[in-house]
Parts: sequence; structure tokens; C-alpha cells
Amino acid sequence: MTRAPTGLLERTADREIVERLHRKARADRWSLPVEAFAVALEASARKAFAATPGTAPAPSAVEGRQLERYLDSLHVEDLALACACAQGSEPAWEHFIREFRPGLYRAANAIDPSGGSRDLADSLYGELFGLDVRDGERRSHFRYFHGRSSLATWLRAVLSQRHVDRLRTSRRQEPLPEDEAPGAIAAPSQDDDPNRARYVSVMRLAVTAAVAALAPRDRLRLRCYYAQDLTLLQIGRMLNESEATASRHLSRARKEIRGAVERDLSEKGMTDAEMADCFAAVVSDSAYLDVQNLLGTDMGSDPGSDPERKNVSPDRSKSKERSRAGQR
Amino acid sequence: MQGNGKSTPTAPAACIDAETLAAWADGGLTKGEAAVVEVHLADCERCTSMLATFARTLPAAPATESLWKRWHLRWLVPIATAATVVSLYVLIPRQPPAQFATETSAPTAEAKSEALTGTLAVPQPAPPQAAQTREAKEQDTGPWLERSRRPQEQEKSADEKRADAAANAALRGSVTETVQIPPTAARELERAEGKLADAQKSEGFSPPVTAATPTPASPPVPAAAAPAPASPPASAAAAPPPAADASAFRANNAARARAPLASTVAESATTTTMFEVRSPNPMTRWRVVGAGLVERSTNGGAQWQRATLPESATLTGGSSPSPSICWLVGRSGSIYVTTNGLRFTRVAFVDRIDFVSIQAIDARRATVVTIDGRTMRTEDQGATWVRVAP
Repeated sequence: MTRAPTGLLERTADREIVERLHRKARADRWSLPVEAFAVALEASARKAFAATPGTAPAPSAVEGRQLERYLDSLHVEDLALACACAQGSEPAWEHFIREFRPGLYRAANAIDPSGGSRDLADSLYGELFGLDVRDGERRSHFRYFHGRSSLATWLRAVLSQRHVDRLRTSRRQEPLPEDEAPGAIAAPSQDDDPNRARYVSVMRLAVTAAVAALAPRDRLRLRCYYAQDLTLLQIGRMLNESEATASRHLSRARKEIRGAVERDLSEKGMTDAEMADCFAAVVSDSAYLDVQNLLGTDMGSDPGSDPERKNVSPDRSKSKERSRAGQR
Repeated sequence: MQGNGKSTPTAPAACIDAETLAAWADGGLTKGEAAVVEVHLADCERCTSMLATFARTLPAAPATESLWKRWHLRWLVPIATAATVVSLYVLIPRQPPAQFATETSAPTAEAKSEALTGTLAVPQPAPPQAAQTREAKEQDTGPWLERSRRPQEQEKSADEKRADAAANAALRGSVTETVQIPPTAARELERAEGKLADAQKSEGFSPPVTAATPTPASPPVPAAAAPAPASPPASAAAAPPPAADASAFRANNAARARAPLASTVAESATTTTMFEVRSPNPMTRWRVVGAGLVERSTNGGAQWQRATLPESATLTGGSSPSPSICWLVGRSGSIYVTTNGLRFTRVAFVDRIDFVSIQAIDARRATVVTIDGRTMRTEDQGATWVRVAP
């Protein structure tokens, strides 16, 4: 498939960039024409420099140096491979099947070791191959790959997105637990302490405000650790930091929350004894302060729609929080 | 089927897509873009779930890569190697170090110990004047040692005092404090010395006056006599056993006495060497010539002097991280170390297993390999041992 010259090939300087990147990507292996590669580069640049969704400036409107810097940062080798696969290049597909397809299925197994996500990988693979035919033209899902990450990372991200979206869709159909069902969440018992409800309410507000005041990265770590049940190693790898650093940041965030809550309670005129009772009220029964709900609901999300509830053990996250609170 | 009654919020328009998540994970976003993504991830449940799912698909590679495994730092490897080689070439002396050069002018404590041990092991017809000079030096050392040790002695227990006294005897060659010597060992030593004197008299030599000559004021105790009587001193091999034939003993000692000092000291060079342990200074080395028999040379093997081990043991390996420190290992959990080059002390080990080899770093740190393949490391001269993963 040969495309007409695109915007990136109109200017001599841009054409030189495209040809240089074409060589850098070793696109000749897949017999990928420069014009087709230029189309992929232009699509990538249009998406990247779109100020707002739907308004994509032409690459010529972008400053030349900025455009060159962006194009140089792309994973052009993977982009050329994706482009060639989308065009049906046999050598490119052989390379993709040999180098990338196993990783795709490994990721599916990692998401659901019981094999529940393998159909997602099959489906994605079919879409990549271009089973979708529109207007007589085969449309490959590779057209959504723009080279801002490696192809392997992109495949894993697409698979993860589909897995989460499928879970969210399936959870809409799940019935609420019956009151008698074993999994039903018991309402906090109205025990003999008349102040407990007030303490819990105060604590909930204070902790919510304290969490909201944290830096986004700290909130993200808390979410990943308590709500998503990721390990420190996984969190560290996602945030490009070591396991020890992630642990240290988490510890600091907990201290900040503790300090903010104490300040909040103190500003409300509570005595030390009352503050201790407040902490004791939520420590005695962690159902009063479900950290999953705290991190999920109060940030604008629906607590009942946690798509990862299947993989996350609420008891574990609660016990984590309880143990942390108990240590203080 | 009962619906949950709650409307699951659809992902907002600002939710990140898979490509953005992948670009964020691979560092393909600008700082501003990455910050926006992180703010959204921190607050959006759906996107955090996607991130968590994505994190679970990460290959099981180590989070941090070793510095030397980073491809862009590999060029440092040959440079670092060359620098190490040059440093070793510069740092390792090709001539005997200063301690050997000053040995004749100002005898160190180690040199005194060597002189005494050598004299005890192989009696020399040393010139009386020189011997008296040496004796005077030894006697000069005595009161100083006594004075310097007294405050410390008050703080130590009786056992520690005895151990320190024995160590001092070996190290200095002159014992000024009272050392508890086992009566049997003392009697054997006196008997051997008496026979030695008789033999020398019969050959026409006057006995050399050495620091080992007992005096009532400061009875010097040879280093070999310090260890427990149950384990015969290593230097006792040079002295005849009590039951040995007297005439053969006299003839042997007469032959020794006729030889010049250097050749007498180097006499054991003709013995069978099981293995040698060389220190970083090529002039200093140890050799094992038999079960519990160790000799040291400080001149590249020209002359050898007997070192003392607390017991007789079959030795299998050794390591010397410095000219004065040597570790030896052998059968049945035998580990010995010396910090003065001549007197080895036993190092405790967890069990009585045979050792294959040892690699020492200094007087306190060493790693041994047992015959069953375990690698054990100590950093406190045997007080504790830690198993090293293979």
C-alpha cells in the first residue's frame, strides 16, 4: 500500500528526518516504504501535539526543532514493525510472532493465571492481524500504536485496559450481596459506646481530607498498595524507583496522614483522650474505615464498582491499615 | 439477577488510554504530560485498576539493574581493570618492605620472637657477646612490658591474663609476668634443654647465652611451652622426644651445631614441603612440612623458621592477606591464624569438618570452603560464622 506524500514529506528538512528515522528503524527489513513510514510518524505527531482532543495541528505547524526532538524520542524500530505488520508484510509478521506474541500471552497469563484472559489476548491478536474490514480495507489495531512506548509495553497496556474494561462491564451485572449471604457486609453494630459513631464520622472526614492533601504520587502509591494490592516491588517498578524507596515514601505518607488527622482533630477541640478514642474506634473495627472505599469512593469513584475486587482481598488491605494504625 | 442499583460511572473523557499508559510507563511522556497522567491515576479508580493490572504483567526482571550490567557503562570495565592492575603494580613492593630492612638495626618484637624461636628450635653457637647484647635487649624489654601491661592486667580476668601472658611470651620472646605453665610441659622442656646442653658440651661448644636461659627474676618461657600440654608444641618436633636415643640425639645436635647459623636455620628447607602459602609480599611465605609443622620464611624461601601451632593437625590449605597474617585450614575443623607470622592460634568453627581451602582478607575476615561444599565466612576471627550462598 503506497500512500501519497504527507505533510512530513513536504518540507525538505522534514523529509530528511523521515529518511533518517527510516534508516534508524531498519524499515528496509520489512520493505516498508518511506512514505508509509512518514504517514505513521505524522499520525504520531498529530496525536502528540494535539492541544485538545480532536484538534490535531499539522506537523508543519509545530516548530521544526520540537518536532524533530519528538520524532527522535519515538521507538521507531517498533513503529516501523507495527506499520509493516499493518501493511501485511510477511517478514514483519514472522518477526512479530516470534518476538512479541509470546510476551502477549505471558501478560495474559500474568493477569489471570487461570487462563481467563487468554481470550483477550486472542482477540487482540486477531485485531492486530486486521480481522476488522471496513470499506473493503483491512484495519489493523496497529494503527493505534504511535511509537511513544515500546511495542511490548503497548501490547501489555492494551491487554490490561481490555481486562479492566471487561471486569467493569461484568460487575455491572453482579447482584448485590443478600443480607443473609455470607459475603454480605455487616453494618457496624450499634454497641454501647454512644460516642463511637461520632468518632468514626470525625475520623472518616479527617482521614479523607488528609489523603486528599497528599501529593498525587503519594496517593497513587497508597492506592496501588492498599486498594490494588500491588507489592512494593511492583509499585517501585511502575514509578521508576526502588522497592526501598517506595516503602519509604509509603511510610512517609502514612506519617503525613497521621499528623494531618491529629491536627484536624486537635483543631476540632478534641482532647488527647478523645483523639485516642477516635483512633481506637476505627482500629477496633476496620469496617468503619475501609481504606478501599476511602481511596476509591471519595476521589470521585463508585465504591461498588471496583473492578479489581476479584483480585483484591479487602481483608488484607484492611488488615494492612489496621496493623499500621495499631503500630502507631 | 438483581442489579446493584448503582450506576457504574463510565470512564471519564479524560481517562488515559492504553497508549498513554504505555508511554508513561516507558518514560515516553514529557514531564508535564507525566504529571497530568499521575494526577489522574491517583484519583481515577478505573485507571488505577488498569495501572495495577498493567503492573502485574511486568516481566519478572529485577527492579534495579546492576551498575556494571548497564550497557552504557560497560566501557568502564576494561578501564577499571587496567586501573586495578596498575594500582596493584604500584602498590605491591618489589623489594622487601621497611620492616625487613630495619630488622638488623632495630629488632622489632616480631624479630625478637623469631630469634628466640629459632634459637630454641635449633641451638646456635652464637658469639657470647652478641648473645649477651640480645639478652640485654630482651631484659630491657621486660620491665617496659611489665609496666605497660600492669594497668590492663588489673581489668582482666585470670584466664585472660594467662592467655595474654602466653601470647606475650610468643610475641616478645620474654615473659615478665607469671605464666601458668603445665608442670609436665615444663619438666619435658627442662629435660630436653639439659640433654641439649650435654650434647653441646660433649661436642666442645659452650652453650649460647640466649634469652631463653631461665633466670629467677624473669623466667623466660619458650613459645612452644605456652600451649596446653595435651597438644604437643610444634617446635617440640625440633627437640628430641624424651625416649629418643641419646647418642643419636647428640650426633644430630652436634651436626646442627657445626653448621653456620644461616644454613642451620635453613636446614628444614630440605624437608618435604606439602604446600606453601605466599603473602602479598613475595619475600614472606609459609610452608607446611608435616602434620602441624609450619615454617615461615621472610627472605623468599632462603631461610625458614619454625612457626608454632597449638596442636598437631593435618593442614590442607592456607591464605595470607599480609606478610604478618596467615590463615591455615586442615582436617577436623582445624583453622589457625597468626598475626605475628610465627604463632598460630586456633580459630573456632561450627563443627569438626575437613576444609578444602581458605581465602583471608585480614586477621579477622576469612572465607573457608568445607569438604561438603559449604562456604562459610567469618568477620570476627571465628566468633561467628555465616554461610555464604554458593
